[in-house]
Order: sequence, then C-alpha cells, then structure tokens
Amino acid sequence: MADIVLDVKDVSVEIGGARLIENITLQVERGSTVAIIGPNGAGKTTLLRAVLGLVPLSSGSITLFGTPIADLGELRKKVGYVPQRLDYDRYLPLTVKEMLRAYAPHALPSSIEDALREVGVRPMLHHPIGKLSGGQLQRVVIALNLLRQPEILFLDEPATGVDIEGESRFYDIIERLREQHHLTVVLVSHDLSVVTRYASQVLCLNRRLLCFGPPAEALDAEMIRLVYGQDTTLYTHQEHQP
Amino acid sequence: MMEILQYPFFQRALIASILLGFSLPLIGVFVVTRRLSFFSEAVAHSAFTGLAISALLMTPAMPTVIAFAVLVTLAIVFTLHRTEIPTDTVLGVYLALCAGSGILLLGMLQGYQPGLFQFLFGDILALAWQDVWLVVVMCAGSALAMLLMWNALLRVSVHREMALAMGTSVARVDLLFLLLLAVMVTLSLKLIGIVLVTAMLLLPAAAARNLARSFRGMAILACVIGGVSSVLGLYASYWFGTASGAAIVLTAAIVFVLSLVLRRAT
Repeated sequence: MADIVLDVKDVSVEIGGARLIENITLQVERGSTVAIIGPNGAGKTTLLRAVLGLVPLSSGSITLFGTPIADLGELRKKVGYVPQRLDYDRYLPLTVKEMLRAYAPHALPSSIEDALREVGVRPMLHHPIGKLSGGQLQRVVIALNLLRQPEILFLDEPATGVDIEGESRFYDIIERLREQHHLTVVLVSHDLSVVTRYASQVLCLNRRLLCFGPPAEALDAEMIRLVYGQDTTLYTHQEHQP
Repeated sequence: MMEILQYPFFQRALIASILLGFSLPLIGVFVVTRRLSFFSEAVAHSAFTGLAISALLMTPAMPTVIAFAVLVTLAIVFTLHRTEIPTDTVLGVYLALCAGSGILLLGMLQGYQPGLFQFLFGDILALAWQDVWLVVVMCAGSALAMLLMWNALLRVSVHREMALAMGTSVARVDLLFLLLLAVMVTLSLKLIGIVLVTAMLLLPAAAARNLARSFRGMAILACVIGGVSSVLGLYASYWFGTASGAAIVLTAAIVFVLSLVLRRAT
C-alpha cells in the first residue's frame, strides 16, 4: 500500500468572492516529486498556500502526515517551504548565519556550515543576505530548510529570476537532496522542461484539475494545449530526456 | 559637568534616560525592519484620550494612559486581522480617532492641565523616584521579552508566510511585540513626549542600520547610540538651558546624519 504523505480532497478556495481553485483532489506519495503546472492565474500558488494552511478552504479537506492541516502543531517542524521571493529589507545587515540561526536556533555551527556546503554557498556564511544574488539566496533558503530536517519540501516557483544555467543547477540540487534526505517534494513551476526532467508526478491546473499522473502519461499534446493554449507544443531535447 | 550630578532630579533623569535610551532602540530595530513607525505614532497619540479619561475619572495618569494604549493596540490588531484594509490606512484611522477623541475630551475639562503638557513635550527632569523604578522594571521586562522573542521576530521579519508555514505563531508574535511597543512608547511619553517618542525609537536603530555589518551588531550599536545620545542630550539641555527631550532626540538625529556620511565613505 502506498505511503500517502499529503491528501487533498475536493478542495476549493474562494477569496473576496472570486473562486481561485475548484474541487482539487490529489494524493502525494512519500519520496515523490510532484510538479504543479498551469498558466498565470491558474491557482498554482493558491493551491500550495492552501496545502500549507496559509489560506482558508471554502470546502474540502487537506491532511498532511495523516493530520488535518489546521491541527499540524509540532508536525509543522517536518514541513519545509521555499517561497518565490523573500520580502525583507534589502539593506538590512542580516547575515546568512543569523538568518539560519533564527530558523534553527539549536543548530550547531558545524551543522550550519554543512547545510550551506551541501547547497554550494558555504563561502556566503557571513555575507548580508541583501548582497546575495537571487540564485544564492534561494540556495540559502534551501539550506535553512535542510537544517530543520523536513520530510516534505514545498517550493513556489523557486527559480524565478534565476538564469537558465542557475535554474538547472538549482533543480539538480533539489533532486540530489530529495534522494539523500528521502524528501517528498511539491513544487510549483511554469517550466515544462523542469517538470519532464525532475517530476515523478505532474498536476495540471487551470482553476480546476486538468490532469494528474506521471509526466509521460499526463502531459500529452492535447493536455499541453489545454493548459497553455493552442500555440504551445512540447519538444524533447535528446540530451534532456526524462 | 559633575556638580549637576549631586542634584537628585538630575540623577533620576540620567538613570531613566540611559535605561530608555538602551531599551527603546532594541525594540526600534524591529520597528525599522518591519516598517512599524506609524504604529508607534498612533499609540503615542492615544495618550491624549488616555490622559483625558484619567482626568475625567480621576484615576492615576500613567496607568490609565498605558491601559488605554493597550486597548488601542488590541483594537488595531483585531482590525488588521479581521479586515483587508491596508495596514497604513488602519493605523491612520486609529491615529485620527485617538487624537480627535483625546482633544475633544480634553477640551471638556475645566482649567489648566499640567499633565497634558508633560505628555506632549515630556519632562524628564520632573520624574519622581517611583517613576524611575517603573522605568527600571519596564526596561528590564522589555529587554527580557525582546531576548525571548528575538528569533521569532527575525523569522517574521524575513518572510511572514515562511515563518507561519514552518510553525511560528505569527499572530501571537505580532500581538506580543505590538503590546510591548505600545507599553514602552507610552512609558516614554513622560520623558520625551508624544512629539518625539517615535524619533527616539527610530533614530538610533536607523543610524545603526547604516553602520552595522550584522543584525546583532545593528541591535548592539542601536542601544549604544540610544544610551549615548540620551546622556549627551541631557547634558546639552543642562548647558544650553533647553528642553531635555528635544536635546536627546536632536543628538540622536546628529548621530544618524553622521552614520549616513560614514556609510557613504565606506
């Protein structure tokens, strides 16, 4: 029997009278990578925020680790989250080390250095976070999550604003960490190449659930046109086959 | 310079100003980081109403003003959480409400109100020993509360939703911090007045932000700037015969300008 970590049942979210997502149902197995795709305004981030308990549900239910999301309590320690961007003051003299220590107050100095080394930003330990590039900062946020040893990691378009090479390196790191730390990964992306390369399951969303399954099965030409419009075609590069 | 120290009124003023000079900027670091300066203005202006209520009900001024500031803070937090009105609009509405109702109620009182002018402009030289003890207790409590909340406040400052998703009780942290801020702002009114309290909260923290290379460094530097500005400002007011609150705040403002120059130079 499959080990279900996240169970979303018939979930709808309505904010200010507007229905952002409708009747979404999905199950995420432990150790899998699930990518949520869809056009702008499809409700990808809303679904992620609903799963994290950051927006109230209009209907339906969500359980994480078998517990309703509202009652997670201490289980939230097993949850990791990488937002699209951090909304802090860029001129704040907060160093990488201080930020990591705020999120993991009991972590040993050696653990902090190890976590940064694992994502390739150990030299940034004493740098102010405002001086980091977008890619470096996102890796620091991954390190911050690693220190807390989560079981499931949610990422909301984490490579936004990062160049193509940096984006590829970023997802390689996520994939390596998933294997090494036995993580379950749920990520929002608009990039189909990321989905076909890294995801074991893909969820196509346009307010309603359009498809859910392994990318090779779920993402046929018809589905891609349905999600992204008539002019969209998927080309597979021979060096980057899933 | 030393002869003034033999006078008890100056001893009391010096102790209270040093303590508040250290304590306010420690909170101010997060006021600057989280852009909450408008909140402290709203709470400071609630003192008008608190003072009027105290005169009408004939209750002790300081406890009444603090109690009313706490009430206003709870109302602001409730409004922010229950409505989708932008934060600065909510604060502006409460500021206007507090100032308006305070002035209205004060206008209904008969005769001269000496307490009003003390709260408006502050008079650190008029403190009694019981006021100093209150300042000691509040500053110690505030420093302890800040140390206990430090990491949670940092998490909320960096990214509210990330903090919430990872288990930080953001609403509780917000409420505790705003209550602490309200009490400390109100407590400082008697020393530096409604007009200047936000300046003392912000200036040392803003100057430290220009110079520090870490957040911890910023906090320590803000406290040092606040403490030193208080002592220098108090002595300056003695030498030049000016209002003490204004002298303290202007000293902190000079340090802020110097910090800008130093930041550009490095």
